[in-house]
Formats: sequence, C-alpha cells, structure tokens
Amino acid sequence: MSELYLIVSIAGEKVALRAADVQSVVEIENITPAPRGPNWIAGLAALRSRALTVVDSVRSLELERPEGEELPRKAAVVEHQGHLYALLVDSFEDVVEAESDPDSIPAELSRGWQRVACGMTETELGVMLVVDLGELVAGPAEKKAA
Amino acid sequence: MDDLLADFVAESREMLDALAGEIVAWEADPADRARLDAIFRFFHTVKGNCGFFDFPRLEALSHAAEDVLADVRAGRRIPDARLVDAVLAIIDRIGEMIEAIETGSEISEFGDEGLIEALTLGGDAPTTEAAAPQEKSNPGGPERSYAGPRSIRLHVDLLDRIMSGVSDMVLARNDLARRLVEMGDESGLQVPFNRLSAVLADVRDAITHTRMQRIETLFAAFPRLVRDLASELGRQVMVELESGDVELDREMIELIRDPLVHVIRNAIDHGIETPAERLAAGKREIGLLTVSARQTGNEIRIGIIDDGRGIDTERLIQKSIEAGTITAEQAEKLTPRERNALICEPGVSTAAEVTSVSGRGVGMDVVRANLERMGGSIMIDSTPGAGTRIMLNLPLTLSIVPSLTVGVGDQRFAIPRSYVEEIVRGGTEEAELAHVGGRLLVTIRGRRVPCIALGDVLRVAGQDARAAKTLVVIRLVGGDQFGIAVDEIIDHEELVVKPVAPALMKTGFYVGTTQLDDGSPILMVDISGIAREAGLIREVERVATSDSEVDADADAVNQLPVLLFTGFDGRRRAVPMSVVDRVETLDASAVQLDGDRSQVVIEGRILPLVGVDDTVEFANGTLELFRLSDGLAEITYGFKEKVDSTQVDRDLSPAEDRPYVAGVALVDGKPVDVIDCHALFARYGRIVRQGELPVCRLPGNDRWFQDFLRPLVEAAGYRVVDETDEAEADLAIASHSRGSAQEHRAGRVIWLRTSREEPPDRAGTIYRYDRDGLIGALRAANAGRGL
Repeated sequence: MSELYLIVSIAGEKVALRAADVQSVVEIENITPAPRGPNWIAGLAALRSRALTVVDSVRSLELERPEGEELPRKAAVVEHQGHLYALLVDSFEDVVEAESDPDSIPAELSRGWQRVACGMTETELGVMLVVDLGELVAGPAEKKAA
Repeated sequence: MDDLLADFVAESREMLDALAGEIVAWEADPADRARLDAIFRFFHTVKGNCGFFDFPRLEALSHAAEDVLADVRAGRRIPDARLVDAVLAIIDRIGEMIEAIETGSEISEFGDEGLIEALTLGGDAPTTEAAAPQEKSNPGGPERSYAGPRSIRLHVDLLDRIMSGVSDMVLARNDLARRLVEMGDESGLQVPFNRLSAVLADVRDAITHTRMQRIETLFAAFPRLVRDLASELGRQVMVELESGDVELDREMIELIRDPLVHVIRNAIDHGIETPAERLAAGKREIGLLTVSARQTGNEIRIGIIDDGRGIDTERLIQKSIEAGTITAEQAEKLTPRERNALICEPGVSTAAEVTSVSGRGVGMDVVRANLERMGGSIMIDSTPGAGTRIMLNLPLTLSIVPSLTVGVGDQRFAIPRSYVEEIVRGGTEEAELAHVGGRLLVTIRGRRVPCIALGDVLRVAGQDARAAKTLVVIRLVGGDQFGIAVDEIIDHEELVVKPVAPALMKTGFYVGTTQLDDGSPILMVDISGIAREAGLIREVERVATSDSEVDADADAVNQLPVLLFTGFDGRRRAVPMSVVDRVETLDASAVQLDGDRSQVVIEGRILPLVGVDDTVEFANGTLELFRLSDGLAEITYGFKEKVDSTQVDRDLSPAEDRPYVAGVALVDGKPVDVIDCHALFARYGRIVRQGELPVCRLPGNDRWFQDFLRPLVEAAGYRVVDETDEAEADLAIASHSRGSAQEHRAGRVIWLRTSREEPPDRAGTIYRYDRDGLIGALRAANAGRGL
C-alpha cells in the first residue's frame, strides 16, 4: 500500500491529496469571475484548451478569507465527475508515500475540515489529513437555501 | 414512416453490399453451404421486411428465391449454373428496386415473371433473355450506379468520441492561432495553418450534422395528433409549432417523442376545456396549444403551453395525500411549482374520470422518469383558469452552440443565439426607452418590452444601466419578450460549449462555459434564469386580462402609459396602453364600413370597429387598428397614424362633451384627447365569440364555392360549414338548380345563377359574380337574423 500523496498547504495547514487524483499543478494566470456564483468558486481559468473551475479552497472550507485579499496562484488540477477543477493552494510541499492506510480521525475537527476530511495517514512528514476532493470542490452544503 | 423506409433501404443496401462477395464465391462453388446460407438469409430478411411495407413485387421475388434456395438447402435441388444465374438475376433486380424505392422512381414490372420462372426446375427461358427486356424497358430511368449515398451503422459512442475530439481540436487550433499571432508573420506557418483551419471547419461541420436532426421532423406529426385527439375528446384546439431552428440529436428525438406526445395528450385532455366550458369561462372557443423549442448552452428546452383550465392544485394535493405521496404538513410547505410537480408522482391523477387518452395515473411519472434518465428535467407552471406551461429541459450532447458574445463592465458573457430576436440601439427612434417605477421599458415597433441590465442581474460593476445603449432582444420559449442591456456586442461565434461545474449550474445563471479564441474562458448565461431572477417570467402567458392595469398602477401611480395616435379625423388621441391588446394591420377586404355599425373580421370573429367613418380611405388597401380588450369583450379602433407611446398624468382636464373622451392630457405642451374606454366598451363592447357567428352552408365538394365564394362569405362574418354539418344553418348558398330550402337545412337560401341576366323563371337569384349583390344579400341575411 504505497499510495502517493501530494502534500499541499491550505489556510496554513498541510494536507494530503491523493496524487492519483491530481492531474497537474499549475500557476493560474487569469481568472474569469463567475458573478453570482458561490463565494468559494473564484471563477474560471483556462488550462490549454480546457476550462477549469477555480475553487477557493479556503472559502470551501468555510474559513475566513478577508475580502480583497489576493488569491493564491498555485493550483492543483483535479477532475471530479467529468469536470476539471483548479484547487487554489498556498503552496506545494512535497509528494510523499503513505506509510499507513488512511485511518479514521479520533477527534472532531473544525467544521469545514470535518466535512472534507476522509481520514488521516502516516507519512514521512508526519500525520496528514487526507482531503476528499469531491467534498472540497462541492463546497459547503447549502444551508442558507433551506 | 419515411424514417422506417429509409432504414429499410439502408439495411437492404448494406446486405446487398455484403452479399456481393458471397455471390461471386457461390457462383464459383454452388455447393458452398455457408455462402448459400448467407444468400438465403438475405432473401428471407428482405421478404420479412417487405411485410412492413407494401412492396408486393419485391416480396414475390424474394419469396420465390427463398423457396428455391430452401429446396437447395434441403437437398431437394442441386444448384446448377442456370439456378445460380436465376438467383443472381433476382438479387440484381432487388438491388434495382431498392434503388428505385430510394429515389422514389418507378421500375417496370416487366420481367419479374420471367425471373421467377427461370428459378423453376423446368424453366427453359434462359435467364439472360428474362433479364434483358427489363433493361430496355427502363430507358432514361436512373442509371444503375453504386455511387449513390451509402450508409453504415455506427455506434453512437464512437460518434461522441469523434465529436469531443473535434471540439478539442477546435480549441487547440484557436490556441495555436493566438500563438501564431504572437509570433508574428515570420513563422511561415500561416498558410498551412489556414489550410488546417479550413479542413477543421469542414470536418466539424460534417461531424456536427452526423447526429443531428431538425426538431421539425418530430413536430411535423403533431398537428395531426392534436387534430385527432381534439376530435376524439370533443375539443377545439389550435396548435402552434415553433421549432426555433433547433436541431436535436437523432437518438434524443426518439427518446423524447413519447414523453412529448404524452404531455400534449394531457394538455388536450386535462388542460383545454370543452368549447362550452371555455365560452362559459369567457375564453375563446378554440383552445391554443403551443409547442416550441429553444436551444441554450447544453440544453434544449421544449415548452408545451396550453390556455386551458390549469392544474387543480388543491385536488392534486388532496390526491397526493390520499396516495400517501406526501403528508398534509409537507403539502403546506410546497412552493407552487413543487405542488404542480406532484402531477409527476406515481399514482396521482387529477382526472375525474379515466378516458382512453389519459387519466390513469400512469404517464407523467413515466414522462419524468424518461426525461431524468436522459439527464433532463421537467418544470410545470400553472395558473388556474388560465393555462399550464410545461417545460421539458433536455441535455444537448452536441455542444457547438451559435452564440453572441457580449461585454458588460469589464466582463464578457455568451448568449445562445437561438434566444436572440434582434439587437437594437437603445434610446434611438427604433427603440425608445422609458423608466417606469424603477423598471426600464423599451418600445420597439409599438411593443413595450421590459428591459434588464445584464450587469444588474449578475452584479457586475461598471455598467451604465440607464443608458442601455445596446439591447439584445430575447424571445423566450413561450413567446415572452424582454431586452437585455449590455455594453457592447463583441462577436457572433460558434462556441464549443461545455457544461459548467455543478456548483455554478446550481446558481441558475449559467448553462455552460467555453473559450474564446484568445483562450480565455467565458460563461454562457442561462437566459431563462436571468429572466426569472429579474421577475420577467410571468407564471403563464395569458390572454389580455386586467392584470396589466394593476401592474401599471404599481409601476407608476400617477402616470398612465398611453399610445398616442392620429385619428382619421386628424385629431391626436391617446389610448391607455393597458387596454391595447395589440396593433394590427388588416386588409381592407376584412373591413365593413357602416357608420356606427362598422365591423372588421379578425381571426374569424366579427369585432366592432370604431374611430372610422364611411369616408375613410385606406392607404395601400390596408387599415391599421388597435385591438382593445377589457378581458372579455374586444373592440377595434382604427387610426391613421401611430405616433408614440408615452405617459400622461392620470389627472386629466375635463373634456367638454366629446363622446368617448375621458379627458384631455398634455403631451409636449399639446392637448391630446384620452379615450374613455369605459364609455367605449359600454357602447360597443359585446362579447363576440365564434359560436355566435351566423352559419352559412356551402356545397363542400364544389371547388367554385369553396375557392371563390368562401372567402367572401367568411369576410362577411359567417362561419362556413358544408353538408356534413347536421345542424340547421342560418343561411345556405346554392346553385339555383339544386334543391329546395329544406334540403339545404337553412333558414334562408341565396340562389346563384350563372348567367348575367336574370331569366324570368329564376327571379330572386343572384348572378354569381355580382359581388355587390352578394355582399348585400349576405348582410341582409345577417341583419334579418337580428345580430
């Protein structure tokens, strides 16, 4: 079980993305805004001839990002249910091999993290939270709409 | 049926092509069992297929060949050269016939017998002789060639792959184009690149059409369907089809056919009332059913709109609770649309009784299930008493959409072109702007259309909404119009639209995303979503009601929107916008001037005409008029020239004793008479309906009566029937020589004669080309009826 993980930093936390899910890591140049979209969708960007939906990971985690703060430019490109997303991350740390199978988390996390966490795994960089990409790109549940 | 036939032709051709090799091999070795089986199967299939169609000769040929080959297979006959020749001749003949079927040409019957005879054991007639005459018998006929269109069957998945590949190629090409521009002219790549572009455009075009079929082919069957259903159910239904040039995936057309037919059945059976009920409800006797289609980003929207009684939501909820679909508490919380959606729940039907057409409580649930299976959805809006609008949203597997790209603030968006009616410059003569109660209205050719600024709806900063310099006029499925103000029109483009991420789809503002030539992504807006957000979609499009008055009140308390016009007496007048149903231009022949009792005939109805006197001269032989409606009665008002739409103060100065003038308003400093609609309708308004038209019977099978006379009779305000109508007519028109008044089952009979002079024994007849005499007689008969 030597699953590879891409360790990225989101909102100051280091988390693990399954490397197999990540198509590439890119620097996003221009983002076309999507007015009236949810606030965690930063807009659209182009990757060669394909359009990416840019996800502001911080807002998707329901964490605060001060209005007007510049978005990070680094992004992990992932495909989810046929759509391409660019997950904005503060930085790429490393690609590491898992030293254990993902394990359940023994404690309650803060709300956004709780939703996207699908377990944790032991790596050479320490214990890492494994992020469920589907949840991250789906954004917070629509509680306001209810 | 044509499709079936085309399939038959295609399949037969394929088999013939495949058989070509077998035949040669069989000829070389008639004992080859595998070849023999293949040829036998061919005849068998052709014979079977012929059963579906009426091709007796084809059937006879294949049947004979099959019989003979069956004998061979059973060992009862030894295939000799003559038999092989005979079979081959029949195969050739079948090929010719199929070609003839395809091209719709005839092929001589001569020679078939000989071919069949040649198969029989003792047949002496050499095949060559049997086959020879047929070639001669068909001089000048279509040359037998194999260059005609051929077909192969492909799996749809393969086409999908090709299509998405081509889509990607287009984007890659665009990217390449941009890079070439950046490099300048020195690359030397421009010429090959252009060639590549041209080839790609061709390929894309071809691929685009491989899977597409115009939705018209689907709609074409509806008038007949509606007619049959209507007569079965005792309704009168007029159907309007609007295909919006939409092309749909072939496969999709097949999938959508049944659900669509079902929804139409429902609309006629449950929606549209019987003529008597409609009359009682103050509606036109004839129900209107509109089926329209529009293409947006990655959706096709098909709207089925009727002006019937609407959905009885109370009953629906009651039924749903009975059926255990929802609880009473849940029902409380439902939005109107969710309530209507209950009709799609299994086992729920509001029909009081089960008819052969619908009402069994199976159907709408199946419709919804079918739609959802293909990734579509259904949306139902209904207004009790006024009608129902059912929208079927279908995904579009093909993703190249003709679009308009527009700029708003510093952003760009794409609008699907199928929605775009026209583009006008706001604030000019052709499109005057008015700000009413915070809403922007634009007047285009006499129609007031609400406007929204795209920037406002999408909250994009930097758009000067009030200026509204460029307006994209949109026509929604269902006919509602509105304008979208944008800052600039950038381009018309064929865009490769891909679905947007679900999170953006959910906003309801976008249907897809695409890339411009410079590689930058752009969103395609969801026109319906925008309209809904801006409150521009009325629940259901309605016949003129007093609602519009209420709206006007809410918009501008003290201002009365009016249409300014110049009457035939040269005076300037104003008519309140809210009573104007529409402006119409009529041919002079539909107008009868008769002082205070002038009338016009519109859509088979006689309406009172005011605003004219007998001296009116028709410019170009036409009369322009307003159709005024109070929701029940209709009056037409002729005018000389339409000036403008504007607002006047509701506090009018009293008018001294002029009839039908409510008061005088000032427009640009000049007095204008504002028409007193109340007085006008009190005097002229009567609820005229088609059922009250006098009935005139004309011989149904006489071309002269139907082609020459009927228009004149209808223009005089009669409903025309023929002998098959059992009821007593008010009037009949007949040739003098035919029958008595009793036979014509009419209160009165106008007898026509063919000679100009009146023979003594035919007194009281009218020469059939005496137009004035005829019109006079028609009118006299009408007056005698006391209308």
